[in-house]
Amino acid sequence: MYSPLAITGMGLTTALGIGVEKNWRRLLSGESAIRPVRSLDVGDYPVKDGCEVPDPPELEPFADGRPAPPELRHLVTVCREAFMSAGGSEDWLPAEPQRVGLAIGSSLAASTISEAFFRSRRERGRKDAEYGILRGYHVDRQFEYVLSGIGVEGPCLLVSNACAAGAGAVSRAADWIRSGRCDAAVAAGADAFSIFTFAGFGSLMALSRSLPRPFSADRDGMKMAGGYAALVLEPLERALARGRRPLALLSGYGESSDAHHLTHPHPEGHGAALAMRRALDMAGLEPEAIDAVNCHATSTRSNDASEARALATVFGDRLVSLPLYAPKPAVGHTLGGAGTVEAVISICFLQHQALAPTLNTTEIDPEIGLELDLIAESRSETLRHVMSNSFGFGGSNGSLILSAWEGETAGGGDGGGDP
Amino acid sequence: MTGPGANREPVAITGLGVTAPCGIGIEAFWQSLMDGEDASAASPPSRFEAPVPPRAFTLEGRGFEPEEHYDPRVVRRLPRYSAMSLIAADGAVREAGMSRAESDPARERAGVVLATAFGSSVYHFEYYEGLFERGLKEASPLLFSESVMNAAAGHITHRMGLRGAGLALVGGEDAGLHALSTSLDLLRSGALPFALAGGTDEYCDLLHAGLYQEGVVGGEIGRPLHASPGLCLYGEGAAIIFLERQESAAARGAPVVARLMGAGSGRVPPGRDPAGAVERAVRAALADAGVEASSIGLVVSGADGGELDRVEVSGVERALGATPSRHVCAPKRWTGEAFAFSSTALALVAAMALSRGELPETAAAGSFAGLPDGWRADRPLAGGLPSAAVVVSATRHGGATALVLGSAA
Repeated sequence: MYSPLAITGMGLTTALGIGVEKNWRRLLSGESAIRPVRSLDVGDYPVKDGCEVPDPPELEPFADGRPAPPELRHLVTVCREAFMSAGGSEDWLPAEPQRVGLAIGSSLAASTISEAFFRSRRERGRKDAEYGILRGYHVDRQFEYVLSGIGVEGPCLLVSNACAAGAGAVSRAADWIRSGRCDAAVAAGADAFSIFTFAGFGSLMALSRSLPRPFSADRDGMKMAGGYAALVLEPLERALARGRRPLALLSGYGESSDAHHLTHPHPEGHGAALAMRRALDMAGLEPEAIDAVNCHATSTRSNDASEARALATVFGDRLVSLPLYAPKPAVGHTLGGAGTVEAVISICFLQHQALAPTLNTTEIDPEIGLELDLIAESRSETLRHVMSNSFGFGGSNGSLILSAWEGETAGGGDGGGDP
Repeated sequence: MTGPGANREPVAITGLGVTAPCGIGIEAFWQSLMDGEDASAASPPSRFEAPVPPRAFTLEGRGFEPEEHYDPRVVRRLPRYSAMSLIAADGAVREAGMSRAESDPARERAGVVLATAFGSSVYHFEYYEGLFERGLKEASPLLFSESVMNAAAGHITHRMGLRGAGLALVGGEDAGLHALSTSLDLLRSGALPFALAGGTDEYCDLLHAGLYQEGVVGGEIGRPLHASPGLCLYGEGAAIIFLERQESAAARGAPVVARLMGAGSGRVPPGRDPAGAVERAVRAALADAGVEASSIGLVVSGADGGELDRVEVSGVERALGATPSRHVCAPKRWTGEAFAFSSTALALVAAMALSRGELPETAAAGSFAGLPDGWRADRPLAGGLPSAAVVVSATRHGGATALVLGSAA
């Protein structure tokens, strides 16, 4: 029997801004972060916009004095925000450093290093390129920077199952606590806006040339984005014992593989449905108990159709009145960050008992053949359980169930307890 | 259930698969190690015109043709990283005697946990080269999609019809042990009934040049734990271990090669005692396994002939305590430094040693100056191991991971 874990802290950076509160306000008011791309020379490329995150704060350099890249500074920043919300200071830890783990989800891992190498190669020639740069492609250096930046000394893992990596990081962090390897863990998701994925998804015709329109008949793809998020997980009893009111509970998580194709989802959404059912089973919930779903919804032709069928398989007749939210028209596709970025958004729903609008879709694609309750305008909603789904290349699927905390803390606390 | 009440049962190792220069298939691999065969080869011509050192453990240099080992229609278009992984996974599944029938209900929940340090690096760099030389519009969809870090895990779940979790873990010199530790947790919790776990990394000339320049790999066959140590050669390969719950193996009547009993990890911040990370990892693995330190007579070490060898030996010694006799084996001499592959190969060696009661010579003659009293690294073992449990350890800068494996009985 799985005991839900408490989520006591969270941090978020998207193209809408740095910080959970700023993101939430903008999401609720229906803002979109899609802007012309600044960091790449897109020239006459047919897609010219995306969701680039603001510059990160200046943080300490690497141990050898070289400046840390923006993606690592963003990652440390969201972890510190999560510690601040969980414990009242950026350098607070939920347990002894050796008993706190860090699971990072990222589709890129350290491959942005390659950009620096090929720039060097172009400038200096093949023989004289700075081959030593490639040492940085080895993620240990990245680990060390982040771990040192947040003071964690427990297990550290980088999960890289494409766009389901963030959900995978949450699952691994939870596994560590359940198995007794950690007393608490940070689950983080991180991906930079990069030429690698911008051109790659463009080559697969998955980038929208207009706007992302989830489940719409005229949908033509997504917008690339950078995104970073972190969650602090700990056993519920531990959080309550220090008078901490959980932001939410992780009630269940499920993972699956499509076993179908490297880049195309199963047309009937078999793998996605399996992940959702496994999460429901772990949570001990029937589908009827889910009050809203954060959809993966990339606005690509095959993904949205597959996801809708998976939802129909799991929720049956309930689907027609099940509020569905799709965040990617607002924040773009944050890839390996998506699972944690969208978990934070789902927790905001639970905290505020409100749903943000899904942008740009006015009518559900008739070819999908299903009636979907896609939230068009922000609204108040009674929410106990929200499901957040992530699906990725490799047929990798992850589903999280986040639940509102409805109990009392030991001291009747409201979140301001003794950290 | 969390914490102290969590399941601590060992899991059964019922299949081993490997694709490596020193052998394709577990029997060939083991024989090569027992024979002390030098499977290194001349580095292939650099497709990126990189200044590569002359030798490496490469399959390409040994005439490897994936089509000879797996369905040519499948592997022909795959990067070597994925092809090696599929072949190793197929070997592990065959060894484990798992039904190949698509309708087998076990496949519905069986998963893959595959570690890598660099993924499909050749495709990755070819993709980047195309971008930088020809522009955004010429990006290759094939190179891009095969470059994602979980491509090999995705190919395995697809081709074997596995619908449990399909995870890719990215790490360094201990990455393969992360995959085994993660799988142990997934099996114990019941999330997976079967797991194909291991690591894979392919040879890439750009990385070869970079890692050599940075002093991560050497230019000639390595001498880990040797009186005059030398860094191991860069290598490639894939190793996959079929894991299942013990009751499952018993119910299937599957022969158990060995048992994975516990796992642990440790880290220390820069500037603090680095051997402390190894010590913590080994202590955590022993506690997880419920095994006393004094009962460990054999250590399979990730020593690679570099500066971390002393750190690793010191940390393991501190965790295990002084002993009149302890044997240590460092297989990277024969596999090379191939990150996720070579760290998984440590567990492969431990499992085979427990199963066969023999151990290859890996340290060559001569005594390692930093080796504690009672430790032996200079001779092969035959006719029985000194203990029924083995510690496997792998150290990277700043951290370490350790496993405890036990015999099947």
